[in-house]
This record gives sequence, C-alpha cells and structure tokens, in this order.
Amino acid sequence: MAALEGRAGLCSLAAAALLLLAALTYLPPLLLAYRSHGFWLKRSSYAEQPSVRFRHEVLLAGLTAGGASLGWSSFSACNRLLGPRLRAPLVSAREEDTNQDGVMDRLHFQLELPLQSTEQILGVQLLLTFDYQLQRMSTFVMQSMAFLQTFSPVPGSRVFVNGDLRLRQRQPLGHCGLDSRYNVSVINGSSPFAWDYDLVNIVAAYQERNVTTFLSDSSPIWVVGRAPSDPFVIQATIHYPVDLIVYQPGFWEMIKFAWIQYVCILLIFLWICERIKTFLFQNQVLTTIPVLPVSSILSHKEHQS
Amino acid sequence: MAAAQSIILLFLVAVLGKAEPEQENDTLYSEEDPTNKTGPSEIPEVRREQRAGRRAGSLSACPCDLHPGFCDLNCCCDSRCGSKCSVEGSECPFSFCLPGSTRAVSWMCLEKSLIFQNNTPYFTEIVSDSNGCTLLFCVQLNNSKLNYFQKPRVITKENLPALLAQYEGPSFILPEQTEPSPSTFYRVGDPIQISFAASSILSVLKQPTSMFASQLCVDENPAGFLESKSTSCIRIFTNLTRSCTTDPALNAASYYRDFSVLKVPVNLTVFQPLQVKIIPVSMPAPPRMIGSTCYNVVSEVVYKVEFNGIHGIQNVSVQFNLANIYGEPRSILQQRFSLNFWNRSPFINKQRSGNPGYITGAPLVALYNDTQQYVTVLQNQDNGQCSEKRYRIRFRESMRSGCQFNASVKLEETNCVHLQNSMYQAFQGPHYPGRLAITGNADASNPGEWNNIFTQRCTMQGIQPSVHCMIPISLEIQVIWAQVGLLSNPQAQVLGARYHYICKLQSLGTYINMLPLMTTVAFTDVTKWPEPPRSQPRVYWKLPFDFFFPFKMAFSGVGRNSGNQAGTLLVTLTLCGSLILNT
Repeated sequence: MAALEGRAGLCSLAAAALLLLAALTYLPPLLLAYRSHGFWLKRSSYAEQPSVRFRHEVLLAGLTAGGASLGWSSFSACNRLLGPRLRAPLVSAREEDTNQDGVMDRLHFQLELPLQSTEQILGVQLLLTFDYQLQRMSTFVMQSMAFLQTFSPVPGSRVFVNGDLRLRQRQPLGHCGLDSRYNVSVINGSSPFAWDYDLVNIVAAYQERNVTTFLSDSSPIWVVGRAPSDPFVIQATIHYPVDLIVYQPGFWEMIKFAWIQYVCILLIFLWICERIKTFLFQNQVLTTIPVLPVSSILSHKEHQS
Repeated sequence: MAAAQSIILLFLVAVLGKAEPEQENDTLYSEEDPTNKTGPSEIPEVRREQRAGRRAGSLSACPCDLHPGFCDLNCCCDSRCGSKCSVEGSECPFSFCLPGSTRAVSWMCLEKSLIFQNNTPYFTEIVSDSNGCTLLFCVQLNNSKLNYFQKPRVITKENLPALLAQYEGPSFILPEQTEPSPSTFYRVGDPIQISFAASSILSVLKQPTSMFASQLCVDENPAGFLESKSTSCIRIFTNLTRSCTTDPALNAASYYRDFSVLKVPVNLTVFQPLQVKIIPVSMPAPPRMIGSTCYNVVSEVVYKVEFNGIHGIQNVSVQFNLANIYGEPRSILQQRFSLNFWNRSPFINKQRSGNPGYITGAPLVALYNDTQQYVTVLQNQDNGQCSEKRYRIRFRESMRSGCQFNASVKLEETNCVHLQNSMYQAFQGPHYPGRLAITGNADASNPGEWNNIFTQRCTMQGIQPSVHCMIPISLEIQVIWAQVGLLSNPQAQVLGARYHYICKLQSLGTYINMLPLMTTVAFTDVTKWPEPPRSQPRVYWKLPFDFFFPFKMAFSGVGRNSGNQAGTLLVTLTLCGSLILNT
C-alpha cells in the first residue's frame, strides 16, 4: 500500500484519470442494473386474510319450469315489485371464526324456499353482498358480492355450494392510505325501480370496478327429487381464505430493491477499479511523486487511494 | 448457571406462548382449578361463580354430555359411561374421545434437549410430541388473566340499546329507511303519482318491465318522471279463454280509465293536487274471445306526457297497439310500454348521431333525396329470407348480416339485367344512401357536410352476355373515419365510404331459386395522432422516462403521502452528495 502513496497536482493528468475512473466505477453499475430490467420494483404482492362480513343482503331468483320465476330479496322495495312472484323463504346465516383470530373464516348460509307441489325449480340465481376489508398495506374497504348461478335440466330439491370468496384485481392496490373507492352498495336497496334490481344491470355495474370479489370453485351440487311438501333448499358455505394481494410498492421499497441491485454490481466494479489504480500508480503510468510512508502522515494529501 | 438458563428458557416460554394460539383452541375447559393451586387470589373465577351460581361447578362440566341420564357416544367425561372412560382407561369402549370430553390442559412446550435442569416452582411435565420423535418439556400455564374470558357487562334495560349500537353487526334486521322529504314538484326519476277516481287511493303510474333474468312482466315497476324509456316483457297465458276478458293487462281501458295523474306530487302543502286525465288518442275496443283467438289485446302502450318544469305534468295522452293472440294451452304475448316526455315540441322527430362528431354506437346518417336517413343493411326473417326491415349500421361497429334472396327464375339473357337490378335494390334498401354525413349533426341543407359514397358495381367487361350473367352476392361497406379536433375532446368524423359489390358468374339457362346474400360493414380508423408525449405538456426527459419511475410515482401522489416527496428529495440529495464526495 505504501508504494501507492504519491503526490500530484490538482489539475494533473493523474487527477483527471482518477475522476474518470470514479465515473467509470459508479455509473456503469447503475446503467447495467437498469438496462437488465426489473430495476424498479413496480408490482409486489402480499398475503392477507381479508376481514369479511356478510351484509345480510340477498337477492334470489328461482327459475321454475314453464318460464316463470319466483323471487325474494332482503329489500322491501324489490319485494314490492315482485308482486305475485314473491315467495318469502326461511333464511339463516352464521359466520364462523374457527381459529379465533378476530377475522371471520366462513359463512354458513341456508335458504329454504317454500314451493307448491306442482312447482319445480330448474335453476337459481343468488346474490349475496359482503363488507370486505384489507388493512395490512393500504386500508382497502369495499362492499362486494358473490353471485351464484346454477341450472339443472332436472328439477332439483336442494343445491349445495361450497366455495371461496376471492379477490379479483385489475389494478394493484396502494401501499398506504385509505382506499374506499368501492365502498358503495352493490344494490341500490332504496330504489323503487325494477331496473335497479335487474341482475344484468347489477352485474354490469359491479364488473366496471377494478377490484371485485367473486365466488370461486363453488361447483354447485344439485340434488334432484323433491318431496311435494318439502321446500327447495340452498345450502352454501363460503370461505374467506387468505388471498394474494397485488400492490404498488412505496417509494422506499422501490429504492431499497434498486439499491440492492446497484450495490451488488458496484462491488465488482470497485474491485476492478482498485486493481486498475494499483496498476497505474505502482508502475508509474501516471506521473506522481512517490512519498515515503513516514512522511506521508505529516504531509497533506491531495488524493489517497 | 443451570438455574439461570432455565429461568431464561421459562421467560422464552412465556414469550413464545402468545405465538401459539392454536394449541389452546381445543381447550374448552382448563384443568387447573385456581382454588386448588397456590397462586394469588383468582379474581376471575370468583366473579364467574358470583355471576352464575347455578354454573358454579362449570369447571367440572362435561360439554358433550347432552343427554342427561344416558351415556353420550364418545363422550369420555360422561359419568354415565362409567368411571373407566372418565379417566380414558384402556377398557373404554369408545374409539376416540370427543374434543372437550377429556381434560384439556394449557401447556407451553419446548424441546426437552434444550433444558438442562428444572428448578422452577411451576408444574412441569415431560411428554412426547404427536409423532413421538422428540420429548417435550412442558410448563402448565397458570395465568388467571389469560386463561379466562373477561367478565361481560350486566345487561339492563338502559344499556341494551347502547350495547347493541356498539357491537351490532349486519343482520337480517332491516335498517331504518329514511323517507325522502316530499317535494312540491316532480324531480327526474321520481315516481309519477296517480289517484283512482272512485276510491281516491293514491298510487304511482306503472311501467311493466322484465326483471330477474326473466322476460315475464313485473307490473309493479313505477315509471320515472322525465325518464323516457321503453320496456318490453312477455305474458304467458295457460287459459286464454278466461284471461282474454278478465286479465286487466290485456284490456286497454285499464291503462287510462278510472285513474288520473297528479300534476304535482302530494306533499305537506298540497294535499289535493290538480288531477290530469289521461286521454286516449283513439278509443280502443275491449278484448273479445272469438273461437280460440283473443282479439284486441294490448301489445303496446305509449304514454306521451307533456310537462312544464316545476309546474308538473300538463297533459297525458295514451296510444295503443292492439294484437290478436291464439294458442291453447299456452299462448305468449309480448307487450311494449313506452313513456315519452316532451316539453314544447310534441315529437322528437330527429335525433343527432353526435354533436358534432359521431358517437360510438350511434346510427350512421346518410342523405337520400335531400332527406336524412340511416344507412341500413340486410335483415332476415324468421325463415331466413330477406326481410323488408333492415338493420341500422352503428358507428364503429363491424357487422355482418345475410339472408336468402328469393329469385325463383330461370336465368335468361332477357331477365339478367332485371335480376341484377332487383338484387342491387335488395342490397341498398329502399333509400339508397347517396351521401354520408361527415359528422353526427350534419345538416341536410348544407352540402359541405356530406361526403360521397363510392359505389363499385361489378363490371361487365370481358363477359359474354349471351353465356353468363353477373349476379351480385355480397356487399362490402367500408367506412373510413378519423378523430379530429382537440386531443382532449376528440370528435369522430367519417372521411369516406365505399359500397363494394362482389359478384358471381352464373351460366344462363340455370334455374335459380334461393340466392344467399351477405353484407359486411367495416370501419377503418385512419386517425393521425400527434407526436408523443400526447397528454399534458411536461418536461422532456432525456433519459428513458421509466428510469425515474419511483420519483414519478412519488410526485404524482399515488402514495398520497406527503412524506414521500420529502424523502425523494432527501434521497436525490444523498445520492448526489455521495457521488461528489467519493470522487
């Protein structure tokens, strides 16, 4: 090391060479890291179990043989519209927190639709709404829905549904702050118009959202053969599983990952630069005045490598 | 040394205890009885016993003993099943013990090899883990606060609503709905109130519609004020003979007689608003059953409502379209209901397809004999033959339609030209579009606002008229359009269009019965975009813009965090500073 120490003027060739060498050491790793893609972390994901609560809003349409339909909803305005087609069922719902962590894990929903002995159900459309909340990164609050539609060519007596309420994202969520864009009701329950309870319009408006929930892997099981006095029963278990949520990393997270990439490449460049400098000064390629190690402590140094 | 180690380990146990909540899940009842232990005074237990004296012995309860006097299956704590089972003896007949039926104890366990010596006063035990590989050193939890639920509040008549308000989640209990305050005039979307003359019962004007993925009519749907809308739905009759004369939905009179529309809604100040009679344009006859056909059935109802701002409804007229239905045992009728609101000019005779640029999906406008028409293409009937009706071309929607043209001729030299002409006529429709509107609001009197349509018929060159006849079988309508004007407010313009016929050579002397005709419509966008960047003017970055992504995101306020911007500045300065210092 002692052999490296030397003197040179501020505007000398040696100083210029050192400046150039430093530039060649620090800049290329940055360009290399950037050009090899993935420098900025633009999307990241985390797992979280959402806090879901069933809103106890139900819209049910049962399609009977002969093209007619029966319906019921938890909205009185909608029931008023249905008139003679209204059939009030027995509805029961229970939410369960199996691991007692304060977040609901599943919903048990049962609906018994009374039927006349001549009526036959060939299909059901069921819409349930939920309060959905995420809070690990940004607090994301929305009202969402699960829609179930199932038909059978043979009249059924029961239908079993067991599925997950999953999140569908067209857009990453933020990394902080409160996001309540979609904290609006799925169904306008105060409207007196049939238009607002039409499933086509409800689904169309809902699918306009960038973040929605849907019922996945439900694979409904139809049980056929109904005793004349029995009601038609829908038994649904909807799990609220841990979901993978895509989010837009914050500024510091992006910088952190970029920094890791930069420094990794920089270390190689620093080592190469060190070797070049040793070579240059040991072999006196650049004119410097060698200084003895003892006197170097006392003397002022322009550059030290 | 060993003592110190075990104390540290016990401390670890206490810390780790919180990270393993699953272990306690099946612990319905804890074995430890605070009264038997040497711990400090167990306040929660005392409270429990005070609260429910009846359940004083709840710690010794057996949750699966649900049938008093009988032995419950697999319930190992049921005293009726014999003492052998209660201690989980080997002579118990059960295949397993139900959770909760054996004394569950809250343990916190560590691998035994970690413990050198145990000198704690607490109750410990060495057990093997579930798969029997490792021995575990377990400490029994004796935390009176952690092991019991906190005592709930006593419910009184006074605090019940407050507690409900605090803890109540969503349920099937209907939320209270606030009635909108009555207004002195109708607003857009308000139901139109009606009053029945005989009973003076208030109701609302109905506009039946389909609902819930079924086309069947829902009669109770109210009509919204100023919402000119058309709805259609079907009715199924299984006993037409009876329904024909009794069903009010089929009788035109039920849509206007016996009730009148209220000029303004009933509110706090006006209890008896002026009533407006509904005037039928023509008096329709009531339905009549003759044979198996029901005559004079309402198939369309059109209300025309004249309004005057906040002064409400001035005039209501109704017009009917009648139809005859038949069919036993099941007949289906489609009904149409329209409400048209108008203010000064009674009829909307002209609708723009855009102002000025075309709206996507609006019909394409053409000029025919100096009158405005829509450009149309072939439509087929239910049997597939070409219909008199035609589909409209909608702006920017590619289309393809076809139908069977009923020619039924033996092709001769004499009728070749006639056949050609009639087929061109079929493609073009009754109103041959000579010129196409450049913009959606083109004025028929201004020729500068209309473009020529280039029609390219089949050429007869090189064809011997005595051998072949050229028959058009397909029409391609190609429309070229572009966006013009401001980037922030683009307007679509039709630049030109072409009718391109494709023909087929047909030998003379052959008999032609049905000819399949086809029309296709294609829209081609030739918009010339300006040089990027196209949005708001900004600093031109020499480096790729993506290079500054985090800074861009931070400054664009996506994170909605003001700290970010300060952070950005800080990092920039630090990076610059470090670079300068290093050199």
